[in-house]
Amino acid sequence: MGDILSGLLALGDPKLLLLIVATTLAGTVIGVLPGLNATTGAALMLPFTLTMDPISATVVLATIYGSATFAGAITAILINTPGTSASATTCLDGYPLALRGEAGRALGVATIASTFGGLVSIGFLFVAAPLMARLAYDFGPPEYFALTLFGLSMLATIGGGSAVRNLIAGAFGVLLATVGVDLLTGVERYTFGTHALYDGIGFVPVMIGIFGIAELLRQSTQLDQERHLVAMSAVKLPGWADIRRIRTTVLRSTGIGTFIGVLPAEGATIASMISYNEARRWSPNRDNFGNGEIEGIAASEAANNAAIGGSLVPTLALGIPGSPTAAIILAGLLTQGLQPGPMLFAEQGEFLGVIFAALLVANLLFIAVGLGGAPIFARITTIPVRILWPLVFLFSIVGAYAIRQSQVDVIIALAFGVIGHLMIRHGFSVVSLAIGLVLGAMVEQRLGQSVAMFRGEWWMLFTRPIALTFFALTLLALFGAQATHLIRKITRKEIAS
Amino acid sequence: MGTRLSTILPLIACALIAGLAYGWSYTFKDVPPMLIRGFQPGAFPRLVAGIIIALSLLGLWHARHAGDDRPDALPREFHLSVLMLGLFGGLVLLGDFLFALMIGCAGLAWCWGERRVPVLLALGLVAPVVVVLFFDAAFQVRFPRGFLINLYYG
Repeated sequence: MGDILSGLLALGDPKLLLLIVATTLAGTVIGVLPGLNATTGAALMLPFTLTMDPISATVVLATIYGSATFAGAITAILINTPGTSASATTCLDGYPLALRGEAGRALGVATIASTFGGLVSIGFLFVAAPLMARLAYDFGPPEYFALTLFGLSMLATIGGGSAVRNLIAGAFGVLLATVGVDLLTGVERYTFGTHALYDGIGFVPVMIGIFGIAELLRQSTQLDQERHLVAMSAVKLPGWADIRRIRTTVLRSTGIGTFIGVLPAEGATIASMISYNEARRWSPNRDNFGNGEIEGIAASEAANNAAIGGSLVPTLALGIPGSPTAAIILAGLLTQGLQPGPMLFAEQGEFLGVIFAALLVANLLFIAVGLGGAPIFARITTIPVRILWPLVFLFSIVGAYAIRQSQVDVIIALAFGVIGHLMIRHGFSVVSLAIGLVLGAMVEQRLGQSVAMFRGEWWMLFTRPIALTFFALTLLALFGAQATHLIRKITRKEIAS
Repeated sequence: MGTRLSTILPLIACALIAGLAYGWSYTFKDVPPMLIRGFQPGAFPRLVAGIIIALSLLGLWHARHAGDDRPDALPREFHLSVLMLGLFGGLVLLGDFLFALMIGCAGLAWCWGERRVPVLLALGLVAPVVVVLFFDAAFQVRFPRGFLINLYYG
């Protein structure tokens, strides 16, 4: 409680409050622009945060995450184009409702569901993160190694792509993390004699490349797409009849979103998809889904915002990103020299309180933005891409350069832009690459420490109960689906015979 | 390109890159046993490269019955954009950073069909200058010297 109070008191600082308001508005603009999402937005904002203190930097990135996710609903409802992939399911019922002349009602439901989901999940973040961090006090290098390995294994389930290709992308991320001078031995690895690579490949240029430049190249392939804004009346808060209709869905979806968010690497998109399906399964109005059912909008929006707080729990408590955007936040923390985990809360006492208070304010601002600003923000989507994306390019390049003031970083961003585009085109997840890069150094360091701890007898890793549990979970994440399929096949054969 | 080839070629490329990284790791210096903290510097990259090769082979095995998943052909604007990024990269390394930004921004807009001169001037002249000045003033970012940047730094 004291932490909440100190967090709220920190908001008395007008600079911090202004920062939250400004980043909420910036995140909303990012969220409504098709092609830019919370992850890309956080990657583009990363260079700006490096001149800030760690708490302000995390507040900026977390607020961008929340507001961009929320704002995706505005374009989903008004132009049938999800501003972020997490709002893709909002289109299914939001746009049909808008076409019927009820855009204001759809946006009102989306605003209330998003705010509720967001508030509950940040409450959960505040309670669960310190508890999880306290558990991690008992972790040694073997446990951390097993946990990081589990986080990497979850990459297999990212998005709808091939598990093998996702894992290859993640492993390439880990391999990239080995570039530079090995800190323990001072030996150069994959530097090609270039001084600029001695410190390794920076997170920021890679993130800007695979999320910003790669998206620019993708946009160049769809220049003929037209976007039409639906005419709308004023946005209004849902009445009692609507609230009664959506309350169970909102509660269920908030739970699903928070839980999915906590799982390593899974994010708002998966949360909204699962919640939408569950809402349709349980709803008495299931036949109306896809034709403008407000329960569909509420399910999608409550879940994707609830996933935010959930995903920050393992990110801050254990250093394992709970979503792609959380991986960028983790990269920001590591670039600031902070190591997430129990020591983060011990050394930065007010850290969690300020983040809690900032997200609280941001979520309350969503109501103002959603109710008052939606029509204005929706107009931003009419900016032609041939003007918008050269500007994104400009900020991406200057941002990539600004971190280490190195031209090599600009070339890295450009190269990873092209690589990222090729990866997406051939079904490899760029999110996996990013998470692999962020976790790569940790996994090597922790494996090295574990092997040193056991004096080279690495199999001793399997004698530690907590580590063993994470290894079992890793196997389950990698082979669970195949094992179930095999068991079903054998059972079916037995019944047939 | 055949349909099967379009599926397996990226996996072969992954295996080859990982194979190269695997082989390269043998050029890393070994440290004396008393200085080792866990394992030799080349061991972990070798392990990861080996995993990538194994996963690529698994992907190839899965792809043996692959259907037609050839991606759509890329439009002219995409190729022009990649060329523009290449030109921009060359200008950054060999020319002037600000000039490269100007050419990059205006060039991308031109490649994507923008023909209005005031818009091209705003993107190619005003925006890069404003952004460079902003980063210099707000974040103390020093840009590499070149014929245009020198006009500002003196």
